[in-house]
Amino acid sequence: MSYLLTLFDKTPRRIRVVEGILQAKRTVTNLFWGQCYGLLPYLGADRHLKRATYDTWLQSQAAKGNLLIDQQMAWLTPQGLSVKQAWQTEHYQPQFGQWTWLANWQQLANRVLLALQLVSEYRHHNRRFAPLPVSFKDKVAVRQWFLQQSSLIGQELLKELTSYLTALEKADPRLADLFVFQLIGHETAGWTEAEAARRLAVARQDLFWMERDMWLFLAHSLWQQTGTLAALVQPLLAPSPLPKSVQTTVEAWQRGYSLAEISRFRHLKIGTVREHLLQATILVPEQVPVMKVLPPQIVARFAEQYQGSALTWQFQAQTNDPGLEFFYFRLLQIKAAQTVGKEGEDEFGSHR
Amino acid sequence: MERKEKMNLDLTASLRQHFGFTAFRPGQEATLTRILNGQDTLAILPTGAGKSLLYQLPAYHLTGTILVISPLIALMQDQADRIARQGDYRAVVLNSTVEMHDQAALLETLGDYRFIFTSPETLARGPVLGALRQLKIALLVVDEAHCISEWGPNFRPEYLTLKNARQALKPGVTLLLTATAPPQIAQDILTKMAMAPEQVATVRQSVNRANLFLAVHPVADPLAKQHYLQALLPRLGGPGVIYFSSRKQATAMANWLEQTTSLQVAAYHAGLEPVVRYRLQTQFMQNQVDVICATSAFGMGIDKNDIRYVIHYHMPAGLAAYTQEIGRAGRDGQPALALLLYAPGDESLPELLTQTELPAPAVLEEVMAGRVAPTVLGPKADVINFYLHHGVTPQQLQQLMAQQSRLAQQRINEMLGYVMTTACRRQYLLHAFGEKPIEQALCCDRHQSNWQPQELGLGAVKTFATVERSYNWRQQLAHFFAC
Repeated sequence: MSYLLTLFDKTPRRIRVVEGILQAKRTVTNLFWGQCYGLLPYLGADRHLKRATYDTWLQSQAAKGNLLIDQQMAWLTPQGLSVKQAWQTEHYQPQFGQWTWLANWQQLANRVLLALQLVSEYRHHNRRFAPLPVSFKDKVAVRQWFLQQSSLIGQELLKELTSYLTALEKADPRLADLFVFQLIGHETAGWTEAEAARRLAVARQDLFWMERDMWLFLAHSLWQQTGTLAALVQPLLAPSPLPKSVQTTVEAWQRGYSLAEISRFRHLKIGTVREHLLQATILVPEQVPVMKVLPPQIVARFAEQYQGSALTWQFQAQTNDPGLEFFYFRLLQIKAAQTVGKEGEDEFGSHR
Repeated sequence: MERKEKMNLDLTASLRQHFGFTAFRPGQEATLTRILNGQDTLAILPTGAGKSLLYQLPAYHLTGTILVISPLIALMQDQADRIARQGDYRAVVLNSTVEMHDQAALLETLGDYRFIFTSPETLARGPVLGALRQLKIALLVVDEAHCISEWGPNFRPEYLTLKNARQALKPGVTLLLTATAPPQIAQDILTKMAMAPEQVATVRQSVNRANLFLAVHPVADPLAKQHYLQALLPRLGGPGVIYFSSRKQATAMANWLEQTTSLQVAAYHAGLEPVVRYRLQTQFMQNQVDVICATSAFGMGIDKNDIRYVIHYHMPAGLAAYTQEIGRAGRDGQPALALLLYAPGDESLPELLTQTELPAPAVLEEVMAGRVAPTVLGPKADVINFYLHHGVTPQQLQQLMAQQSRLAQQRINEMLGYVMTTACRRQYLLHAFGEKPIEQALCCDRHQSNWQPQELGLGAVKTFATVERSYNWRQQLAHFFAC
């Protein structure tokens, strides 16, 4: 749990946003603030995090004098900031979180591990082994994949994995070692956790982040590629950072349909369609030219109404359609926050 | 007589041919002979007696599906893995961990599998039972059959539905397996399964494990336990298992021992991801890990013969669970140690864990009527809810739970008696299971209070941690794929 402190900063952050990001709860609020805090690379990093565990940790940090908590916001004390900086110096720091949207890395890992185990045992002419206990769906996928492969599968995989691992080694040699020495196959169950930590000279809790990185790196290497491994994992790789339904809305909007029209033919509430567009504005801003959505008179009015840092704007409805007005407000806020971020101002805190 | 001899010869040949063993363990042959003669059987064999062979070997002699009912999800997977390692038949696990859409697909292909492992809860579901009824069930195995008995320590009310499932499936033969069942529980198992005692053969082996040295080490407090382990473990060598009642403590202790000794120590509990558990079990089997700090989730289905000691950090809730867990040590017949650490007041933890707080009858009636969510029933909601929806009135349930609490307390007292006894611990155990006393040289700490590991034949061996290999990922990968 100690890594959690690195997700906070000296400026206040919404504690439920940090929690929601870790649990992969993709609400617009979580994504917006998550982006502002620079935490989107942590999306889904701890899907099973429990509210009670998280809250207990927050309280313990407050008691230790590392965090101050007030009204659902938390920020680091000077002591907490030192602890965070010390942690960042002494521990492995995640490198490839920007690809977290590509796949549920644990599922990807399970599928690949089973496939490699199968090939390893097959190459050693062993048919008596217990396959890894992965989901039935993954077992079926691996079996079908294996049946489609040629007898040269061992050499093909060796070639593909060597290429991937050579690239990974350049990024961080420890990750290439960890990948190979955690494989389960013929007469090997890989390093134990303690052995991996000792050999790679890292703390045991760092191994989780290293594993996540090596699988995300693999997902990125195989994304939109062809080959033996790509054929196995392609169905698990997301085509875009947007969920399928959000992508459909965005594409319809790009083809010129209004949000009201999309709402009608997709049988979605208008609020949902707006949420889709907001998600897209946060995650793939290049796909959503915000100014095309915002009526010029709204932009002009908002420019007068909301000034200063976008992160401190407080929404105030002034029309009789607050839902639409909030949608415009949030769009402009996202845009403003992203612009500030790009310009490198100190608006977003230390995550830059 | 002639037929029996012929069967013995066939069985031994089958054992050698398919499993590579030359002789049966006590109780195995008697059980197999009865099953293969079509006789329903209750086999009460201690842990380590090789119970899985009792349904694996018949696969080579019977035609049809072998259906195994098992109480623990982790155990099912272990058992299915073992059959996969054997390599001759396909095995599948069908339980709540299989997602619904996967389960639907699985039900359509059930006929492809020779072994099906499932839980009583899953079996009770209409589509599952329906799919199984399409198959010819040659052998129905109820593993951990003591869970059927309301008198037993691990009673699971879902097991009460097995009687109906058996009637629906009409298996060729039924095998009830358990490690510990005093006569009263054995009788209750048959009653609950609606099986006539005169039609069921009972095979019973002693709970005594002659190669286990039994000891209790009293300490002042938990901290003293910790330091005692730190000093003792390096003298015992490995491999060994330390049991805990809490996942958190198992993990904390594994980390601490790893840091403060030269041993390779890992924590194992049901909260770990299945792949992590698989890896850890394999590493333990392959002697990469010296000590496992585990909850009771570890061990069932672990077929490691050379475990040299089982230590209990927390007091178990009864002698049945205790004998089952210590039975995992020394399956190879070589000397092994069963040690229990006790600090004053340790019995309060099992007391707390076995206590069932039942809401007032009025609340139970509200739950029965669906006006109040079952979550108000607390941690035992599943058990209570099961009864309420199987014709038990709130008043009867109150009585039943009170009886269960009394029995649980009795079992804890019996366990505490083992800790406190000033007489021979082995005789205490045997007496509790209704067996005759046995005398032997290396017995327990009551005969040998200053026991030393070396005297027990447990001198420290070279720990696995000291075996270091150089590594290179390219070489390892080439070796992995035999390229």
